[in-house]
Parts: sequence; structure tokens; C-alpha cells
Amino acid sequence: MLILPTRASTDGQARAQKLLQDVVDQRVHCTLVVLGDGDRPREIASRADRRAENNPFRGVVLIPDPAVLVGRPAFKLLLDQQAAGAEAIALTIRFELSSTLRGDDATDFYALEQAFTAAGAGEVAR
Amino acid sequence: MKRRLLGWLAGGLAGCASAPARPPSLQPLGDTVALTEVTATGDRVPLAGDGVAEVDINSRIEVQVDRARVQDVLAQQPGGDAAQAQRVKARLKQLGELTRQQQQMVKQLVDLKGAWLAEGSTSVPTEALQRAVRQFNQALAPLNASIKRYAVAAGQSTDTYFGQPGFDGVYKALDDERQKVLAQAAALANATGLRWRMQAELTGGKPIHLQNYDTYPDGTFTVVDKLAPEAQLKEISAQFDEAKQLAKDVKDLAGLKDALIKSAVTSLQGVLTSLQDSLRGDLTTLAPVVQAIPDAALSIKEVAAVRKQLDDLVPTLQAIQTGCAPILAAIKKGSLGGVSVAQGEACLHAVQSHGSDLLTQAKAAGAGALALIDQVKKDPAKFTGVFQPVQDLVPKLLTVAALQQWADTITKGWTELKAFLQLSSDAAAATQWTSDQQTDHLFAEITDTAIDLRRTDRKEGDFLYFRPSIVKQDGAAALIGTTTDMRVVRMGAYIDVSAGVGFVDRRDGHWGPFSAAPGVVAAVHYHSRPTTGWARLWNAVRPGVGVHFLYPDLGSKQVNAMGVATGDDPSFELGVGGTVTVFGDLLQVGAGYDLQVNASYWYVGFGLDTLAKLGVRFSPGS
Repeated sequence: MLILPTRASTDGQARAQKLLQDVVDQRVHCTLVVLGDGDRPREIASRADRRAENNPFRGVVLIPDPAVLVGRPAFKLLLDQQAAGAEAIALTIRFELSSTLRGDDATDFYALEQAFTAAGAGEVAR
Repeated sequence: MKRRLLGWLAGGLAGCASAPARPPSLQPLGDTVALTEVTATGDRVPLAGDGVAEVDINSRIEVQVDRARVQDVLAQQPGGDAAQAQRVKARLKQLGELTRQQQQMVKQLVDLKGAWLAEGSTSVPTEALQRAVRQFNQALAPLNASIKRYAVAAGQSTDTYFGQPGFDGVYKALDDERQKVLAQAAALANATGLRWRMQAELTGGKPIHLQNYDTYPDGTFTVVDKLAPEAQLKEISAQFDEAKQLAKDVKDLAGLKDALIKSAVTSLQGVLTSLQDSLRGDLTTLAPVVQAIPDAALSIKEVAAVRKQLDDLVPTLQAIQTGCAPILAAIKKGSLGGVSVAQGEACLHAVQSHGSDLLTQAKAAGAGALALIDQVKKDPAKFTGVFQPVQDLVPKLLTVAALQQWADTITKGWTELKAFLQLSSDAAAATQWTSDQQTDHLFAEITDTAIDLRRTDRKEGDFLYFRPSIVKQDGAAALIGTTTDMRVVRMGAYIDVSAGVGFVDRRDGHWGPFSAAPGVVAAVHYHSRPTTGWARLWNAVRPGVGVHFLYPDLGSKQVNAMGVATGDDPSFELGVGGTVTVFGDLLQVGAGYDLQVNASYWYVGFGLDTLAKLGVRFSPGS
């Protein structure tokens, strides 16, 4: 699991954006992004990470401070989804939106598994 | 007999054709166990349940039980909670399929990872790999949905499976669930009181110890040295005596057929004598019994049964009477001396064709006759209106009952006699199973086991029988599985030494005359594993190459026109040379040199070892 730095750390925003840009540029794994700080986002990320274990074609990114994404158009998608209530966002290997999870689904192993599977299959949300 | 010899050879060759693909097993319990031969060199060879598999004399046969399949069969057995058994069966079926598919996905993921590593773990893999990963995920979604459906139907949380780490975790969770359901199935089966039994026997009904499944003793470990001749010196010596006698008796090649038929007829004598005795000297004695049964009595079950059985039996006896009339007459006189070869052959043919039917029918008719006699005694009222004619039948029915005793007595010997008459073509007939020391298992306690041939008193050519079965608490059979038949052979190179008779022709530029000579042949053979048509052909022909020692009689002393004795006729002649054999030692062709007469010769002959294994023996002096 990749945990992005927050603005509280030195060059936190720049480093976070660089790390996330690397994820955007790669074409190996689909990604499940969890936005927010606190126990619940950590739990969601941890559960998603369990479904990604031993699988290089799946990745999990926890962004405790979503504000680090501000200023980069490529990441606006994530902020928009968060604003719409998404707790976890599944992205294809091309960083396209596949699906979002919220509420009970966000912590349900099966829902997380299927979100990964759909993203890995290249399914894009319309 | 010649026809039989040819038939036997043709039968051996017929097995050489390439086997077509086998359909799935439809035999009881046929697919619940998998037998694997582990050779002396550690090779593992799966054994098919169909036909007669060949196993090496120094091998071990592992028996692996498919517990899921056993439970599947059990679910179809009567008794217990049928509805619950069906549910468990359905769950097992679903789990079997889900586990298999998930295992495939795990393997595919490993392959994809391998492909990515092979590309250097780059952050942008090739399009082909990206496409493969996409397809992998597309296939995964419906499998995940199936697992969810199973979990919901079983009242489980999906976390049971998807809460485990990665794909491997899901697979392990599915397998754990399968084990749990298997245990439930076993508990259900145990509640029915049924048990699992496995047993193995060698030719002659000799039980073989199966670890955990019986209390028969574990035999002494012995490995057969294939390059040491199998026949003991004593046997070779006895065969050589036979060969010497045959060489005296059989003056030429045509005499061989006579000798073979006489040998077979002599073996039949005991069976025919006892049959004739039990029928008071006449095989047609039962025909009037059938006619004496009043039609009015046929409405009585026991009478109708006897009539039906006699209707079957009488023609069979008639056929044997017709085929063997001269032999039966000779037996009455007390000597087979006047029986011709043609008469002997006709009788052998009749017994071969009708002997098995006769035994079955005699037993059934005898049992039926006894039941009828019993009814006449106990319940005469049942026979109102026909009592007297039925009562008159009783003395005649006692003859039929005696025939049952004859059949019971002869049954065991019949297997051997039949094998002899048919030159072993049917020697793999059903074995007599003994079950006095079995340790039957609850279904939760089924274990795999092994048949260690090296700890058995096996010989080449022996048959090995194995069967699983499901038995009730009292040991009675609930479902008897199909017997797997195996033949013990010496795989690879081996040496045989045997005595035989050669028909020797001196190499003097003239064809013949052939004179019979006893001898001994040592030949090396090779038995291939019968995996191809060619290997089966090779094994059927069983070629060999070796050396021979013959005792020819090529020397002769003559007096010429001048009154001078010429030539030499030593009292002892030894011929040494090379031999090529086919069908074991059965047919031999060789060339050699007579050391006393200083003359070369060639010969064609036959060995006695293969014939002895087929049950054909020529007693010296016969």
C-alpha cells in the first residue's frame, strides 16, 4: 500500500503529487484510492490491501490529506468523487474511473474484490 | 487342440491393437480409487481399471481413495437422511468446481507474474501482457460471483472467502470449506452404519495385506532377480524328464497334437466320472423327469421353477453327452486307452463350450429340486389335485439334488480345469474373496494404502485382484466395487531356462528326417511396458535369444557293400548351439553342432516351460 505524505511534512504536497503521478504513468496495476484520514479510511485501505496481496496487478493508495491533490488537473477526478461521497475509488491501469465505493460496500471484502476485478478488466464508469 | 493353440495365439495378438480412448468409468466404485504402480526404479505408472493391467513383479501399487467421490456414491445409498445427503452432495459438487476454478486462477496469476518479471518488471508492460491481465480479470468476476452465491446459500459471510489474503487465501478458504463438508458427509455416512473396505488377493485366493485395512501378516520382503532364471533346478529337471519321455513318445511332429489332446482328456476324466456317477451313469437321465412334471402343477411356484431350470439343464447335459459319448463310454469301461484323438478333441470342445453353463444350471436346478422336495414334505395341501404325480417325482428330483452337490464340489477345480482347457485365456476369472480379517473403516477414517508385491508370495503370471466395497456394520456387502485385475510380469530384461523337445535335422543337404531330441534352452527376453501397440505385440510374441544343449541322435553305423562298418553311433551325443524362441520358450528354432558325431544340425522345437505355465503337463510315461 502506498500512503501519500500530507502537507504537514516537508514538501509533502510536491512529494505526494510526484508519487501519485508515478501511479498515473504506470501500466502495471489498477489502483484503489482511499481518501481521508482516520480509522475508517485506514480500515478501508487495509482491507483493500488484503485483496491486493501477492498481486502485482493491483495497488492501493491511501491519501490521508486529499488537499495535496489540489492544483493538478489529473487528480481533480479524485477530489470530485470524494466531494460526491466516495470513500474508495477504483481506477483502471490508465487511471480512468472504474467504480466508487461508499458506506458498507467500502469495507466489504467482496465489494472491494469486485471493484478491483472490474478495474483490472478495464471497465470504465460512464 | 491345434485350433485352441492358434486361438490362444490369436487372442494374445488381438490385445496388441492400439487401445481406443476409454469412456468414463460406469463401474460401481470404479472411479473412487486410483491405482498407481511404483516400480523398483521409482517410476510411477497409473493403472487403468479396465482390462488386465500388467504390473512388475518387484513393484508396489499405491491405492489412493478419492474421498469426495466416495461421499458422492454414498449419497446415492439408501438409508440415513436422504434430503440432507443430497444437500451435502450438492455442496460438495459446487465446492469441487469452485476450488478447481480458483486453483486455475491462482496458477494463471503466477504465470502472469512470471511473464511480467520476464519483461523486467517494467512500469509499462507490453500490450500483450496488459491484454492478458485484462482477460484474466474478466474471467475472475463471474467466479467471484459464484463464490458469493455459494457463501450466501450456505449461510456464510462472503468474508469467509474474500477476507483471506490474495487469491491464494480464497483458494485455501474454499479448500477448508470442502474439507468441512467432507467431514459432514462422512458423519452422515457413519450414521448409516456403512463402512469402507478394500481388499486384494493373489491367484488362488491368497489374501494380500493392505496397510490399515486388514490384519493379514505383512510378508517377508523379497526382490526377484530377473536375470536369474525363474524356474528352479528341480522344475527344469522335471521338465527335462518330461522332454526325454516326449522325445521317445513323439516320433515326429504330427505326434505332438496327439500328446496334447491326450493330456487334456486325462485331466477331464475326473470331472466326467463324477458327473456320470451323480447322474447314475447316464447324462440323459433327467430328460424323463421334465416330461414327468404334470402341466397342472406348473401353477405352483416351486414346480414351475424346477421345470424352468431343468429345461435349461437338460439340453446342456445332452450337448456334453453328445460330444463326449466315446469318452464317457471309455470311463465306464475304466480305461481311456481306446479313445481316438478326434474323439478327445470333440469332447474337449463340448466341455469348453458348455462346462460353465452346466455348473451354474446344475446348482440352480439342484437348489430348486431341494426346495420342491421340502415343500412336498411340509405343505402337501399346497399340491391338492397334483400331489401324487409330484410325490412320484421326488425320487427323480433327488438325482437333480445330487447334481447340485457335484457342482459345488467341482466348482473350485473347474477354474483350474477351464484355464487348462482354454490354455489360460480366461484364467483371470473371478477370484474367491475372503473377508475374515478385514478392518473396515468409517468414512471419516478412510486412508490411502498400498499393495506391496515385494512382500507377497507372487510368481510371474499370477493374477492380482483388488476391489473396494461399501459394507454394512455386520460386514455384509452394501455395494461391491468392480474388481481391478492385474497380471504379475517381469518387466524389462529377464532370463528363462527350460527343457523342451527339438526336432533335429542334420545339415547334410537333404531335408529331414527330423528326429526328436530332449534339450535345455537358456534365453534372454525383454518385456516392454504395454503402452503402445508395438510393445503389446512384442510382449505377445515374447521373442528370446539364447543357447541350447540338445541330446540328438545323429550318429549311425552302417555296413557298406564291402562288409566294412562305416560311421559312428556313440551312446551319448551332446549338441550345442544358438536358439531363437518366440512365445516364451514355446516355439524354438536353432542351429548347433553335435560334439560327438562332429556334425552340424538345425532344429525346430518347443519348450515345456510355457506349456507348464499354461497348465499343460506331460507325465513321463503317459
